[in-house]
Amino acid sequence: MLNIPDLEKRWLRYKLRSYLPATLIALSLITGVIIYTFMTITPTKNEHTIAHVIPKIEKKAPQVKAVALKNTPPVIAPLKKKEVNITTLSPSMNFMKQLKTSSHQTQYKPVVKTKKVIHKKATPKAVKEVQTTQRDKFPITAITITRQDTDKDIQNILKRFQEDKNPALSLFLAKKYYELGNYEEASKYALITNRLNKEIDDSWLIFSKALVKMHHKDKAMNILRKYIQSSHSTNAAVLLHDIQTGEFQ
Amino acid sequence: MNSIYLNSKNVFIDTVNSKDYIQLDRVSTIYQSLKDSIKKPLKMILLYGKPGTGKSMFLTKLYNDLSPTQDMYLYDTPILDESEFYKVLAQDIFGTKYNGELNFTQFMKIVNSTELPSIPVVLLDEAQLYSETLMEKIRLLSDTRTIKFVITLHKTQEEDLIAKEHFKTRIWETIELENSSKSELKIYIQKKLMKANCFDTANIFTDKTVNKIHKLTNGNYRDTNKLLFTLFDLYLSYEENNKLDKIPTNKVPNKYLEMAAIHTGLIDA
Repeated sequence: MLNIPDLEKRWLRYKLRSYLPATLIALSLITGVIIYTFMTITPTKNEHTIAHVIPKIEKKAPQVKAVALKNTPPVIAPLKKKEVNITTLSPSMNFMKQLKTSSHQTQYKPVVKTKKVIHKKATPKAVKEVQTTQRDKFPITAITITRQDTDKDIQNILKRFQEDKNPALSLFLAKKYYELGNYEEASKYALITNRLNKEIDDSWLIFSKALVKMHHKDKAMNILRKYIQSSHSTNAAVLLHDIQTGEFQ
Repeated sequence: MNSIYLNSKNVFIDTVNSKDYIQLDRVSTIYQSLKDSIKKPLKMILLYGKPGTGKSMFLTKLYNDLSPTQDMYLYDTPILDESEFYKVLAQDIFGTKYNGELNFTQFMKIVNSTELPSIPVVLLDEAQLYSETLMEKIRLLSDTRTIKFVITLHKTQEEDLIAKEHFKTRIWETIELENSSKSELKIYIQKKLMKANCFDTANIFTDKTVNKIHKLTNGNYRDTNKLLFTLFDLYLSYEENNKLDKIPTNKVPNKYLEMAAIHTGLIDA
């Protein structure tokens, strides 16, 4: 005769034991899902906080534009209708932050940017190329949009430069960064231009100017002196003089 | 008490009885080939397989089927002493009773001095238990073609044995027995029960139940017999405690199969 109660107990123990691995797997899966959900939710919260910050920055942008527009009275009247568009096309600070991954920006002066962009008459060929593409989109407000799309310009030129190592593009980047006050990046691209073509006057000038801005005045003067010796560049001589006299700081 | 469960339980008592032999297609084919091999002028036939695959049953059935017409001797328990082995063979096959020790040379003299109408067939079960020396003597005996041997042994031993070159050349026929498939197991269980007129219990073995049994026993006949014997014993115990109403009558719940498996040691709990 079999001992049924004992067998039933043993069977129950066996059953519990056989369900244990499945239960553990299920539990670990659930825990995994919870952790994953938690991990994915946490960054989105951060995104929200960033999103809250961004509008604050954007709110400041129209003030800057208002100054710029006041300086260009003939453009103001036709632009009134497109004020909304101008606001949305304001420079993105985030992009500039991304650009700073390898180096720390020593100085950053957004006001300078607006002034410099307005002096677009002297920009090189590369700048002209970018401007023409923007003109196709907004032919009437070409000047304003060029100023506001600086970030896009840089992005675009960066991409092109990665594909085609054209010194004109790197020089454009150097100048653009210099205008934006990102002197480290400016010096970097000036050097790259110089490596690609040593005879471009502007690359030496931008590099020296950036050095001065980064408080390496002596270094900048030495470089200019050496360059003048080999190239007899009058622009370089003028800049050297300006640095020595303190006219350029 | 004449419970259906008691009758069903007795069906699965693990004994080697040729009357309990269940005709399955594959098994029948193998059995026929074994019978054919006996007729061939082979020196030795090796029947091997895992324990519980029905080797002993095969030998017993073969003996019961052929012994009335053929000079056949079955030794289901190994005779481990060499002298005793020769003496038993001398007495059974050649009718010579020998007192004292009998060695291989003396036995061969008896073999050569006696003329038999047909070659006797000696069936040796559990040959893995014989010593290597005795197995070598059996080989020499079969070489003389005066005695034909049919030996059964477990698969692991067979692998060792077959690996030996001298046996490779001498065993002319090897037949392997395997565990049953799911469908074979179902036929085996139902035929076994129906043979004992246990039709009600035969019907409770659905495909699902048989699959579970196959999972527990791997299709091994001996393990299946043990499991089902315990299962019906379990049913009997419930019946005696008036708790049988808990158990459905149209199928065997996994719980009771698992309980029986725990009791027989098929499940370690």
